[in-house]
Parts: sequence; C-alpha cells; structure tokens
Amino acid sequence: MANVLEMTDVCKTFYGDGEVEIRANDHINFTLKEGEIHALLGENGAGKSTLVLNLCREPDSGTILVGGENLRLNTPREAIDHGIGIAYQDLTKSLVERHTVAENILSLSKGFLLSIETVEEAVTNALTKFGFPELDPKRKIWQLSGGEKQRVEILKALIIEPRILILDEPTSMLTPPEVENLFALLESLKSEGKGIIIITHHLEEAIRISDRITVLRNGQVVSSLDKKKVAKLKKSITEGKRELARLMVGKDTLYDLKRNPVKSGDVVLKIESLTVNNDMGDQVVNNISIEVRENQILGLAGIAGNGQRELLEAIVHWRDASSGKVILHGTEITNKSVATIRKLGVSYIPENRKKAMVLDLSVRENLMMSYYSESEGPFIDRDAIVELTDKLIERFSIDTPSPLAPMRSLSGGNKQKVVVARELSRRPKKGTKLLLIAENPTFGLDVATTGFVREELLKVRESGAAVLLVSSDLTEIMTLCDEIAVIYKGEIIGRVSTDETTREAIGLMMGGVIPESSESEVSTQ
Amino acid sequence: MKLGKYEMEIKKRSKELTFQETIQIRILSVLMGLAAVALIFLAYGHNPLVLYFDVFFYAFFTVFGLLSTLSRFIPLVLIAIGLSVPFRAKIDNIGAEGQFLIGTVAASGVALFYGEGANPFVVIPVMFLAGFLAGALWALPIAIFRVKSQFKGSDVVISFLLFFPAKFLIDYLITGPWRDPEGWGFPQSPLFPESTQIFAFPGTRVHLTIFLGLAAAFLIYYFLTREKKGIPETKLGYEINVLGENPEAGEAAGMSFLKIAIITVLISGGLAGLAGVGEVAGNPNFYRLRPELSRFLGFTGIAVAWLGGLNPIGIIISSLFFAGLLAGGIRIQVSGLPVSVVDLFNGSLLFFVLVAEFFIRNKIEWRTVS
Repeated sequence: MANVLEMTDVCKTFYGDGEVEIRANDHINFTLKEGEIHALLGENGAGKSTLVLNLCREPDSGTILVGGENLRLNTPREAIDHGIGIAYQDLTKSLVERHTVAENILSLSKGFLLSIETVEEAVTNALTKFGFPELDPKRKIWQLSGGEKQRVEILKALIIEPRILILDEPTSMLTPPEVENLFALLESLKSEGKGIIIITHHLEEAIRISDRITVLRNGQVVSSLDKKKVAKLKKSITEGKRELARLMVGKDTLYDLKRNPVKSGDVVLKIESLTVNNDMGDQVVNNISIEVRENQILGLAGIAGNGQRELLEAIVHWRDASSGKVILHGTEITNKSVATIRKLGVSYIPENRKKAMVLDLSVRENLMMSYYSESEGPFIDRDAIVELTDKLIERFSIDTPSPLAPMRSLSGGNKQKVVVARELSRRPKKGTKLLLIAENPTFGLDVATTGFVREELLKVRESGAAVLLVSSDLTEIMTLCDEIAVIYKGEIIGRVSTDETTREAIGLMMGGVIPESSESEVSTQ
Repeated sequence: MKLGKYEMEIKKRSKELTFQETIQIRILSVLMGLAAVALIFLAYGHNPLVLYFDVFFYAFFTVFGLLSTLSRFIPLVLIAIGLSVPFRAKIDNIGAEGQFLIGTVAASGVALFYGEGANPFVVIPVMFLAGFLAGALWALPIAIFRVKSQFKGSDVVISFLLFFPAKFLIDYLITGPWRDPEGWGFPQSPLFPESTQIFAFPGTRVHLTIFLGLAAAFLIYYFLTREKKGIPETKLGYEINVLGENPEAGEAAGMSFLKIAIITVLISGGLAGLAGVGEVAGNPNFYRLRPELSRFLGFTGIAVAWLGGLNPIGIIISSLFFAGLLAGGIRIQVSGLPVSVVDLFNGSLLFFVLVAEFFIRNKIEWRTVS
C-alpha cells in the first residue's frame, strides 16, 4: 500500500531553560501507510510528540512527504488543510477551558459568519457517527471530566475527516470500556484506508491495536517493528511487552558508579494516604503512602505524567494536598508554608530549572537563596554568606569567572551544579537529617556533569540524608537507588529493592504491569 | 522575526553591561525623547536647540529658575524613590498620583481640624504620619491584586484607577464639607493655620521636606539597593531582587511574594503620601487643599524612577533633570507654544527610557537568511 506519510532525516532541537540543548528528534525516519495503525513508543522525552508535531511546526531539517507531496507545514491550520487531524496530548493547551465544546470545534472551521448552531449540530452528528456517548456541545470545557475532555480532543481530530489521524496519548484519561470503543473505531477507520499514528506508552495497547511499531529513545529510532514482528508479539502479549519494555528503556553502562552498602536509619519522611489534584482539578495522586529513611535513596520510577510531579510538589507545598498526611521527622507538615517546610531541612532540586535559579542574578545570590534566611533579624550576615558561597563554588568546582558573574553566563552544566551545590550542602538542625527531593536532576546535562551529580547524590546519602529521587531515566534509578517504588496512574503499584529486581521488571511495571515472576518481591501497598 | 532577507532575533544579554555603557544608553534615550518633542517645536516654527537651551539655562543657571526647579524636585524625588521599590520587585504601581493626592487630603484633615494653636513640632509630624499611612493604605490593593491571581486583576489597572477616587474625593471635599467659607466660592479649603505650615526658606518655595526626600533616598539606598560583595544589606533587599527577577524561584525557596508586594507598595504609597503632605503644607502656593495640587507629578515619577535606573542616586539626578524640565516649561510658554507641550515630555521620555531599559537587558541580532 502507498505511503501517506514519509519523514526522512528529521531533526528538531530545543533549547530549554538555562540553555539546555535537547535533541528531541535526531535524524528520524518514519513512514505511515494507508490503512494501517502505526504505534510510536518510547519513554518520556524520547521525542514521540515532537516527531508528529513536525507536521504543524517546521522541523530544523529533513523532508516530509504527505501523500507524495513535499511539504513544510508551519501551522496547525495548514496541517488540517492537508488532511492531518491531530489530537494533542496536553489538553490544557489544545482546548480553551472557558469556551464550549462547539466553540472549541468552531476554531477548526474555515470562512466567516459560521453559525454556532451549525457547529453544534455537526458535533452532535459526529458523536453519533463515531459512536461516542452523548455530550452537550453547549457545555463549557472546564465543566467536563478528564475523559470527556479527551473525547472532545479526539473528536476535534476526527471531525475534519482526515486521511492521516494522529492520536497523542489518547487513552490516558479514558476508562477501559471507553478504550475498547475507541479501538473499535480506529479499526473501522483503518479499514476505510486512513493512516493512523497512535502515541502511547501503554505497551499492551500498542501491541493489540497496531500493525507496525516504532520505538524511540533519546530522539532516535531504536527499532522499527514491521507487520510480521508485531504479529509475533501479538501471539504472546506478556512476552511482547517484555520485548518492548527492553527496547524502550535500553541499556546504558556509561556511568560506573558504586553504591556502597549503608544500613538505612530512621524514617525521615513519611507520607500517609496522600491525595493530590493536578492543575485541571483531576485527582492524579491517589492515596499514596511511602517512607524514606536516613542513608537511603528511594527511587520513584514512572513514566512522566503519572503523578510524580504533583506528589513532590505536595510534599514541599508548592501545591495543596487534598487529603492525607506528610510527616517529616515525626511532625506533620501537610500544607504548611514553604518556608516552614524548607527550614525543617528539606532540599528540593526541581526538574523545572526556572524554579531553582534566577538567571539575572549573580552566582553568589543564587547560591545564598537557601541560606540567607538563617541570618538573624532583618539583616544578612554578609561575611558568613561570602565564606559559604566561596566554599561551595570551590567544593563543587563550579566554573565561573567570579562569584559575582551573572548566572546566565554559566554553561548549562554549571548552572545545575549551582543548584545541586546549594541544595545538597544544607545542614538541618542538630539531630535531624536532610531530606533531599530530586526531580530528574541530570535531565539535559552532559555526560561529565551527569556523572558528577549522581556521585554527589550518593555522597549525600552516605552522609545520612534521606533522598527521594524521581527520574524517568531508568539507568539513574537503577544505579543510585536502594529501593524503587513504581508509580503508575497516581498509585504506587510496587516497591522493590534494587538488588532484587531487573531493569526489565521495572520497565514493565512503569507500563502498568506487575510481572508474575517477581510478584513475590513486590510488596504492594 | 523575518524581514525579507534578514532575520531578527531578540536575545538576552549574557554579559552585564558596564556602568558606563548603561549610562550612555540612558542618556541616548533622553536625547531621543527630547528629539521627539523637538519635532513638535519644529512644526510650530521654533528652533528646538534654542528652545532647549533656554529651558535648561533658566532651570539650572538662574536663581529664580533653580529655586523653582528645587521646589518641583521635592515631590518628584519622594514619589520616584518610592516607586523604584515596587518596580524592582516587578510590581507596577502607576498610581502614585492617587497616593500623592490622598496624602494631601490626610494632611489637610489634620491641619484643618487639629492644627489651630497646636505645637508645630507635634502637629507637622502627625500630618506626615497621616499622609504616609493614607498613601500606603491607598496602595495596598495593588499588592493584593498583583499576587492573588484568583482576583484576575492587574496591578497596572488597579493602581491607575485608584487615582480617580482620590481626585474625586478632593473635588467633593473642597466643594462640600471642607469648602472655605471666605473663599468667594472658589473650590478650595480654608488656609491652614500657621502652626501647620512647613518651614520654607524665605522668599522661596523650597521647604524642609527636601531633607525628607534625601533621607528617604539614603535609607532605600543603604538598606535595599546597595550591594557589598554582591550581597544587599537586608533580607528584604535580597528578596526584592530575587522575586523581581523570578517570583517562581523565590517562592520555591520559601519567600512570600505577597509579603514583599505588600511591603514594597506600602513604601511607595507612603512616600507618595509624604510628597503630598509636603506639597500641600510646605509649598507656599498652597497651604490649602486645591484642585491644582494634581499636576500629574505622580505619573512623571514613573519616568523619573526608570530613568534613574531604579537606583536612589540615579533617581536624585533624574528628579533634578525632570524638575528642571517642568520648571523650564515656563520658557516654552513664554515663546508662544501651548503650555501642554510640557506634558509631552512625560510620555515621550518615559517611552524612550523604557525602550532603553529593554536594550540594557536585551540585544538584537541580525542574520541574513541563507
């Protein structure tokens, strides 16, 4: 069958906060045929969404053939005009919360003076045609549940009668029967000859629905499974999932770090049945209970978007917990002020670098951010801060011309070193140990700095600190952590000791499967 | 942005400009602002160079002109020093005019009802205190609307709109309850008792409030903006620096943006209130509440604060410059141009000063598209 979409040698690079260079797409080749479902698999940040977004936002280089025609599409509008329907992953960005369902769909229409009634009618018709449950097109988006929003988003892609349909994580908020309905719909669209790309990290779904599977890792294609291979996977889904999980997470032996055996001590952080909502008001952390002890690194493994960020933000109270308790050194700190929590000896390295540094201030002013409040009264103890910051710069070998150089002038790795130096060197009150929360601390860093940061995390663990590490990098989790808890859809679905598990087992659990072989080692909470 | 064969990109400067370079950019911006107004002079058939020379010669090199400059300098420096504090924390209080006016009302209230026969060493400080409190209170909503996003308000809009109730309150008072019974129907309050008039140097409109302005500048400089070894004197100064550049990072480290917003707008509202007290009770043109008190010095203060680089020492210099421009405006009037031309300086200079601020932080790179 003919290719409806051919992407050759596509590259796209992003520059993140703090001038982190991320090669989201690194010379990717990808084809989609008529009448097939092609799944794109990969960990968070592997470049799946970026790849399909090249269809409505020019890539840096590479060619894109749509139906044999060489195209450079710059806007979602042009993509629609060429028969490409995309249901985006981030609903907060693609749906206008304050508008109604019909008004959101109206944005796709061409021309002037369209009546909203026509669109409303079209929406109702389309809902019946595609077999979706009824939904009043007059309702505002913010009034809808997560699943309903997702259906509106899918409808937006379908209603333009596309020849290429792209669904980015279409099932994350659907219930199992809704997923079944969607899959039946996709099958029928496929038989009409449409090309469908489905992006997912649910391994089972990918195997069941797709004809071909392409696996991405770090912006590159690691494997492209043709029809025959996928058919083989379908025969034994458990085997297939194992195979895919292995491809997704890969093997990485770049860092040779040694985790010295240390006996873990008293409980530092205890979380009791914590529930947290995300920005859209959906409950994304469900009843989580975990403990982190002194001299221990607990890894929280999971595919991004399963509630990790919300959980961490609730611990340091950047976000309210809706129920449950956070207990630090035996004192409840749930929803206490950030300043109170930080003063009790909590350090945080957030993934969002913007929240950890002020680019327009000096290195010294960035380093003192977690220390200045220790001076007494309204004044800052200048001499103590100068001594401390000079020492931090030396000890963490931060490469800066002067402590007064603006943070902006540092390289990406050195910027992160400033944050790590600041957060790891805090000394809580006598008798208590530091709690360090690190969220993807090596994201976007070069090899040397990554190794450095990981070494420092191990050092702080040996000095007695309790570390809660969230990472979507399995290598990081496997090398650093004493224990691993796997979070999936807002719940801890397993907690295992690193020495008694394998990379593949963790990879599978991240996809929502508890492997039978290691069931005995899993203590479900 | 693409322009034909060229591509333009705005980038943040990774290297800070030297002090000299910043000064050069600022002076250039002032010259451009003056040049823009010069176009209007040209349209009226005047030689702008002659006119500008006239203005500045009068304002700084004649005794009468210099005294007139200094009398305008007093309210301007107080207002601008105050504004620089929330501006550093990226809180846009553009309503100093309202805070200034409410300060005049508070001072008038004290003067009219408790001033008769009172000890000036008691009643004048009380007037300043009342003016400070009234101005600060008037500014308070700005902080709350800026930080509490659920109110969906904007600091710019709120601060600007609060000017109107202050203005109307004065209009009401001087045509109603506080109207001067012996004023032949003029909308004004009775003359303040002598004990409440701030000492002015004889024969001038320069009053003791000038020292209050300089003291405020010194205090803000010493406690908030001065850095030694890259560290400000106080936690407040440091928190303003951090929150002004990146409120997210500051709050993540446990700082309270609401607290800093409240403190900074209270300082700026309070100082604008003090300026109001000085103007109504210190400037011999007034000594009573009159509609002419509102000469939009509060709005001029915005341009003054930015031109001074939000730095107290810079603001003293830029206040003198603007005060001179306003005082010298009389020469523009003499030359036959409408007096409102003077008001154009505000807008024109503010525009170019803000553009300069942008270029101090950013640079533009041009590339040819291959």
